[in-house]
Amino acid sequence: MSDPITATSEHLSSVILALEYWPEIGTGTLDTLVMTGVSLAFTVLIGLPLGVALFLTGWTQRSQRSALARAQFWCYTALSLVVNVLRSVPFLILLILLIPVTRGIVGTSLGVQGSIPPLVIAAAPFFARLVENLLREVDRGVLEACRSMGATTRQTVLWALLPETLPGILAAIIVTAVALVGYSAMSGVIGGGGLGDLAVRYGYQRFNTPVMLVTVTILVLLVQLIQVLGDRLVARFSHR
Amino acid sequence: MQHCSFLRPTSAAEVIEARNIAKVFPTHEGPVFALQEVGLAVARGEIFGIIGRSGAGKSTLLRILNLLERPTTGEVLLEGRVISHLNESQLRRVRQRIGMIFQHFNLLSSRTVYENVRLPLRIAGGLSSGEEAERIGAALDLVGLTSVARKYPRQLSGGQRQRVGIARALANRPQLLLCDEATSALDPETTQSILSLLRDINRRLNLTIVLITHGMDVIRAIADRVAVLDHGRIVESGTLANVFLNPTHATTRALLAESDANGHESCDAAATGTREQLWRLTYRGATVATPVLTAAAREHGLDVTIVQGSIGRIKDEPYAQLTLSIPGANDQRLQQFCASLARRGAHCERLS
Repeated sequence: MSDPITATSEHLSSVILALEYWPEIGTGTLDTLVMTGVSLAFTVLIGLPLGVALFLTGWTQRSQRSALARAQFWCYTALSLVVNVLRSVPFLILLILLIPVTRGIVGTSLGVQGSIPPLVIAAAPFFARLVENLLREVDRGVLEACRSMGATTRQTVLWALLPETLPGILAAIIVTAVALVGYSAMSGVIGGGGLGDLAVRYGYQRFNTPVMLVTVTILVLLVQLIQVLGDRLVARFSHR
Repeated sequence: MQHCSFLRPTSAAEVIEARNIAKVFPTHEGPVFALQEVGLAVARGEIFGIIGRSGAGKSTLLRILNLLERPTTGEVLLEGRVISHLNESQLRRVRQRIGMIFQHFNLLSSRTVYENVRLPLRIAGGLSSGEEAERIGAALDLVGLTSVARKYPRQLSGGQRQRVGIARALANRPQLLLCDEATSALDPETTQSILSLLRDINRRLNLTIVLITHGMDVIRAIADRVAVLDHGRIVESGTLANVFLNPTHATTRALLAESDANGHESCDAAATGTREQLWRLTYRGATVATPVLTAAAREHGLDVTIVQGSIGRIKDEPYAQLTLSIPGANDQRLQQFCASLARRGAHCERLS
């Protein structure tokens, strides 16, 4: 066995020339994109309303009337507990714990399909907290203006709060997307595939450093791309 | 909610009325009485100013008028109908017809000027997009901001932002406009332009305005009537000229002195360099154009020194307020002198 650096230079040329790993790397890239993209969509779909619910029941929005305030308190406590539990379980453990749930939702607990529910369940609470914090940052005066105009809560959320936080929400989506790219690497445990899985199998288990380096490079580029495009989007919608 | 009987205009002279309002905030250190025994009634087309120091309860009082804050006791009437017992969804309909502007404008930074002004119309609903456009156009025209409709609040100056706030408050044709320290975040020049805009709107639309402020100059510039709030109570109220020329409460006097409107406070004997008893002479209206002082002085053969004074206008009414020293006269002659002044329409009082 030679040292890793020599092995790297030796293997790098052979990989590029031999091309035998490229199809697998291509599939892995595609799998990562699918896992990240689909679970990001569901994360936003679930996390955004959840974040709004956390905000509306949270202490900054407590009603002056005690009955309503009590209902808000219990609702917040329950939601917050679920969010905290899901966020405190390490993703690897969550992946395994959720196998029966995953099977119930998508029919399998394996592969790309099987990794999407756990990814969503792990990321949605995280995203919801980001949204909750963003909404709390909205100027209280804007909320008061909406109330003074006779807006319903629904109108206030849809026409004032969400537009005001749009740049922040876009930034939160980017952060979540990058986190999902990272999480998806662990889905190899359940045969999830993707670049992360490839890196672990070749680089860690088979000592194939070049394949690992290529996959990691692609991951870096992917994250970079998400961030750059995301920043541009945020700037586009920022009017502060 | 389609049938809103409480929104039907009535013949009631008072647009907004608050009766015996108290507001108590429970705290850990016991109840805090933010407002006590507060009552006010504002007639259509009137500009009513509420002045007080921070913590006097004026912000709470203003929020009670549109029930953003519910009073602990007492009732609020809009156009003669009690609105303080309505539930939240009924109140939302009421608030859609009460405009409000704020110290920090509270505009949506993510929306254009046009969209900001459109917000209350969307909230109230029931307008076609054509009617919406017409209302928004009219509101922006009224405040002189038609040219910046497509800009974002960030691109505007403070004065322009408050104009957007005013356009937004007026878009839904309110019966009443509430102003929450609307000029306190603006420089003096911009303050004057916003105040004259408000006065202009008040005249053109006969719109009733209630404003709160801590500055006497704001009150002086536009209010018809004023209430002075101190520690949660109205300690003095009346027409602008009455409160300005004959302030009775210490808080009012202090607020007047700070704004340097009339400078009553500095007219003690020592400050003016005389050892004589000082008198304050006040007259207003048509009397200002007549020689009341010299006529009375000649009649009684008295010499009078004017040690301080101001002559001007308060809300279009001319007034004169002079501080006099009258050397070498006994009490009886002074009393006759005062009676003679009173006959000519001037009020005279001895300064302690």
